[in-house]
Amino acid sequence: MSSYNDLSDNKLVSLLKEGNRDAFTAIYDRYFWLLHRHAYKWVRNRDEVGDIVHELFLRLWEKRDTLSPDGGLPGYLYASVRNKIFNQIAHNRVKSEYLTSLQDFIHRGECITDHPVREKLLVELIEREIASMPRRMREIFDLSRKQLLSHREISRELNISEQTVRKHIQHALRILRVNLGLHFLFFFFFLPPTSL
Amino acid sequence: MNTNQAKALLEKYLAGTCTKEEKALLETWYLQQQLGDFQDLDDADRLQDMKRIRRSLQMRKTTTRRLSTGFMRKAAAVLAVALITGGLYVYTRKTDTLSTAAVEQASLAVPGGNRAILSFDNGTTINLSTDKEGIIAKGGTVTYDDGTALANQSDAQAGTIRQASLTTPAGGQYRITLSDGTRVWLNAATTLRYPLTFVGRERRVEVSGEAYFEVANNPSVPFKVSTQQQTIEVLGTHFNVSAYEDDKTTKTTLLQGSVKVNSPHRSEYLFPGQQAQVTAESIHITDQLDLESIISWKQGYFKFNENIEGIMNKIARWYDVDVVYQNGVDLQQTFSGKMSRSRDLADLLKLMEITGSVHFKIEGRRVTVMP
Repeated sequence: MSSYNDLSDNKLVSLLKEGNRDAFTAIYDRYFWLLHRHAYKWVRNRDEVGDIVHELFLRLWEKRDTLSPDGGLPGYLYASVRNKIFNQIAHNRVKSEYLTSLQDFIHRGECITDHPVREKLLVELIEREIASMPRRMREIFDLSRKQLLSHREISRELNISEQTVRKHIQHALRILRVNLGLHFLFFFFFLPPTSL
Repeated sequence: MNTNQAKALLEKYLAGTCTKEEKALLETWYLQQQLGDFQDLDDADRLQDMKRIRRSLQMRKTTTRRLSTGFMRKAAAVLAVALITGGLYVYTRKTDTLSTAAVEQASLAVPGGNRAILSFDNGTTINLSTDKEGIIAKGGTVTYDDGTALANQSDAQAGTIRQASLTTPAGGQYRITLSDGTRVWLNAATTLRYPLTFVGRERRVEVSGEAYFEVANNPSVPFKVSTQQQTIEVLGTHFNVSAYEDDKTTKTTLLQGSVKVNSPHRSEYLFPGQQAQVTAESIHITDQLDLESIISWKQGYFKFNENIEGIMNKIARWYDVDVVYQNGVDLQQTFSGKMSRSRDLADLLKLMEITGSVHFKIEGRRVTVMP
């Protein structure tokens, strides 16, 4: 059995739901850097961010039975971080400029009411943050983001070379990417690492 | 700045009790938040934290139930995403046959009408037609609402004029559409001073009296209304401002959208359905309002729900009469009722006399209020 780090997000999630601790650790290793960095941008306090990330993964484990990240694991984890950050802001554990900015924003009254559009923007945000990760961490992250079926598994299944599989998938991806109205899950998971 | 609304909204979100719109607002704010210069943690430090947290997670062999922190939901104002529109019905009241009142001469106290004077900075003034209801000011050209040209307008275009004033006398009302599409209704005894074309980074007008605004939306160029006591800053909104010089309080009532009221000592934001009462000392926000009463003038009728002094002030401005109070009149007594503004004053006063607690005498342009 290949290392857990080679498994797709989806695969890891279903293993996690079965109570697989190794899968949990793999998810942690895969996403810690991204989430910690994102939270730190907001909170700017090492201790607080540590608490946030710790609590997030703790919850992830505790609620593993009922886990169903509709928009995919990255979106789910980012939304969890966002909620924790909201919590910090609401309880004055980070700088008050956020409350002021939000108050201002409330009065401007402009917002994106379309949910899919907001999801798409969240994806773009995650992409940008991935792109700005330190090279070493990014490479590890990319390598571990497999498609739903790894190339190897597909080639074995269809009895064609991995090279051919890769070409087909890339072509499909190009088409998928044009249709941004597609479900977040597919958009995110079918991105080849080389495009980042 | 009061951040109670922001906090309340966050807590609603965390408690899962947000509406769709509230969620949308918070998530949008989060997405577009510019976080400024970002001095990131050392890679080494972060790696250290990564190991430390992983260790603490793996040590927990058994899952523990955490006490859920209950979020105190504040009783603060709910985010006003529901817009209150000014869609009110126009009330027409049938006149009852009333017992006779002490009215001697009603003929001179006629109701007001569409009267206004437009004056330009170069001294040109134009008496606006009483047959029309409003004008449209587009840059240097002004026409009536229906497209008819104004008389004497050529004089107005000469020279470099930037500003104009629209003034209604007592008994007058008029409407104007400004160069950005903002519509303003002027009540009686009101002056609106405005630039012929809005240039620059803000759109600014001055008001003395009472006016109702429907501000054209332009988020990059804020619209500002100055009165003697305050400045109102708006985006696209519908609101009423009452700033008569003989009133100690300037009242701004928001119906739709968002405004910020700036007085020399404080600023406050308004939500739809709220009114800011600005005096020399303070700003007071209230939502105990009869919105219909506040903008009834714009809809063409009176709706009273106040003391006699407030009512007589409104009557004086619309009917262009002087009001005198005899001894013994209880000024704090409140009356409520509705009547079309195009009715004769005598009818209106008869209505108030039904209560038996006040009586009137009309002599030419003077109304005497008697107990």
